[in-house]
Amino acid sequence: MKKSFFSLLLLPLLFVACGKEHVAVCPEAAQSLENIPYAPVPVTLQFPLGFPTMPLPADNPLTEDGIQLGRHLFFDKILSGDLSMGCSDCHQPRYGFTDGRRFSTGIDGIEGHRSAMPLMNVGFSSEVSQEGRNFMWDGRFPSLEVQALAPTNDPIELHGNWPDIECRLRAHPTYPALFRKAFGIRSTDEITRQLVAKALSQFQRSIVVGANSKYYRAQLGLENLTDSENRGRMMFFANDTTGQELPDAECAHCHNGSQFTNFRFVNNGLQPAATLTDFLDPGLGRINGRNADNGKFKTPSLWNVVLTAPYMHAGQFATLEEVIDHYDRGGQYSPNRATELVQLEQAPAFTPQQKADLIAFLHTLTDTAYLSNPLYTSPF
Amino acid sequence: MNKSIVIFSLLAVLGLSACSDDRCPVEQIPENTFLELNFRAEAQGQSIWYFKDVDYPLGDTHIRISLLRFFLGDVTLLGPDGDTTVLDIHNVDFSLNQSDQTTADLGETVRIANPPVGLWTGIRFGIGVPGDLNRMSPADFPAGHPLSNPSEFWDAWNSYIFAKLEGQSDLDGDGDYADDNSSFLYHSGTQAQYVTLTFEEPFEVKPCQTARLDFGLDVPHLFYNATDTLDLVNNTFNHAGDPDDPDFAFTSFVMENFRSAIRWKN
Repeated sequence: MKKSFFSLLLLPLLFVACGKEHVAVCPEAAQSLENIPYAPVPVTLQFPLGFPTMPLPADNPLTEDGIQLGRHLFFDKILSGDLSMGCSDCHQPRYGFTDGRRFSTGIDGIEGHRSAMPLMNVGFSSEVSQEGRNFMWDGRFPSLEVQALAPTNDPIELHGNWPDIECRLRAHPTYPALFRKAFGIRSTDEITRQLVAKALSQFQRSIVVGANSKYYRAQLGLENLTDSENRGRMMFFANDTTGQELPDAECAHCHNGSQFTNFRFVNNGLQPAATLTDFLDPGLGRINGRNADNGKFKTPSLWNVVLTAPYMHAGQFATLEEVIDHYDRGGQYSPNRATELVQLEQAPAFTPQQKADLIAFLHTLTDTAYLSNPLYTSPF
Repeated sequence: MNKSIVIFSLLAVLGLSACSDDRCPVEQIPENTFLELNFRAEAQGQSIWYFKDVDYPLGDTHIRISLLRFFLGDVTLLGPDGDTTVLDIHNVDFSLNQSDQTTADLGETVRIANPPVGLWTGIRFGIGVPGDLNRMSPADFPAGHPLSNPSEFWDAWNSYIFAKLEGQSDLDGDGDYADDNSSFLYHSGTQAQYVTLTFEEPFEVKPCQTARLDFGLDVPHLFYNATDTLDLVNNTFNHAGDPDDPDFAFTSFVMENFRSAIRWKN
């Protein structure tokens, strides 16, 4: 009786083993890599005029080989439990490094409850917001290096486990040499998840867009915005210099500066909540334990916003038109809804032309030159 | 034998303590001497925090704060032999001490390393960004610098936002904020609104010690002066740094009220 009970317990485990579990076998002995040259070439990113300096951690400087290793790992499936998905499945370059879906789906077909965040210019987020809450919609990670460790372990994402993946990488025919060139490790057993995270972070920091956008070129006087784009710009920045009495669309309170984000967390009226504890998804508040921060989510950059639909942390809006309509209405009541939205709620609605002007302006933030850069294509 | 070791050890400990208290070696002063300015948000002498219900100084209205921050500029120690500026800029942001009475009681502390030691006759600081810094923009500062965040800069003014005061109003004082759905926002900036406060109160910075100056920020006082009180029905949304903007008077009003709202508490 006892035996059959245990057999029953083992059955599901067998199914799992026959399913997507791939247990990697670590090499019995570490292989020396010292015969492979290690000659790191530092990379200094060139930023468009007016962009801030990107904060770089002292223990993870950018190098050509570090970025290339990160590129390989980013597009590879090797970081997932069953080798079926990689970072680039949810962060596809053509969708502005999102996946174009409302919710991303992991290797087990389980849908998450957040939309994949765009990764363009993500390196500027480091060490900017308060309390080290920099990454993810709810600010749960302080740095790219810490964030990069998470999807592999997450059961609704890549659903792997790091010891196995470290074994895979150590036994792999090409990765040990790439790690050697990137980080100067002396043997395969020095390949760790921390180095994976560092390489992925280097690659992500290299993704900088904006310089080839119409808006940026217009800022430099190299191109002219159309009348509609220009009206949208003035509404966006509350800077009507033409006396047309354009309304303030209140956008720049959160989408300000060269990155079109304040790098902060805001309740933009997506969830109704009678009190601070009534949010279905508390966002930042769940992470830091403060009721006043419930319902707040990270303000994303708007560079290439036309590529990153659907919009908001849970992909609530399929189009930019829906986004503008939401803000025009001021969103839904909650105690800590951004004050600017209350103003929008009480102000006269935008005209169809004004909405079209705002959207025309948002289109000028499109810079797709990176799509033809081999660095952002799969090496496989 | 054992007794002499114990006595010797005790004397050694006492000796070390005396050294750090009274005879701080000169080379240790820079690393171990601090001046702290503590700002506690208050109403009627009691600490307040975000979303804490507070009496408004007009009618039955109550308010609750959802955002309070200001730049502290050019902190200068006043002395008989001259003044010394010890801090260029700091963003005093109450967002971190907002959640409850315990955290609100702590206030926001600005910690200044290695201030000059001695007896000082007072302290002066500005509310806002001093002119030389306000001619710059967030891209000019490294990440983590108080002036690096674009959230605190307003392109249309070409200026930092000196102070932000936001919250909600319960206009009829019935305890229900939702039925009024009334908010206020006062964002002030540009050089004409820079306010300087001087406190002629003596204090001492001792070597290898932390001198602490406590200030109360009476939040309701930001809304009124001797003759006027902000109208939370008709002037609720004022984001103005341009003197030509009709709302400029309201945001200037808030900035000027910092003079009476910040009180020396030591």
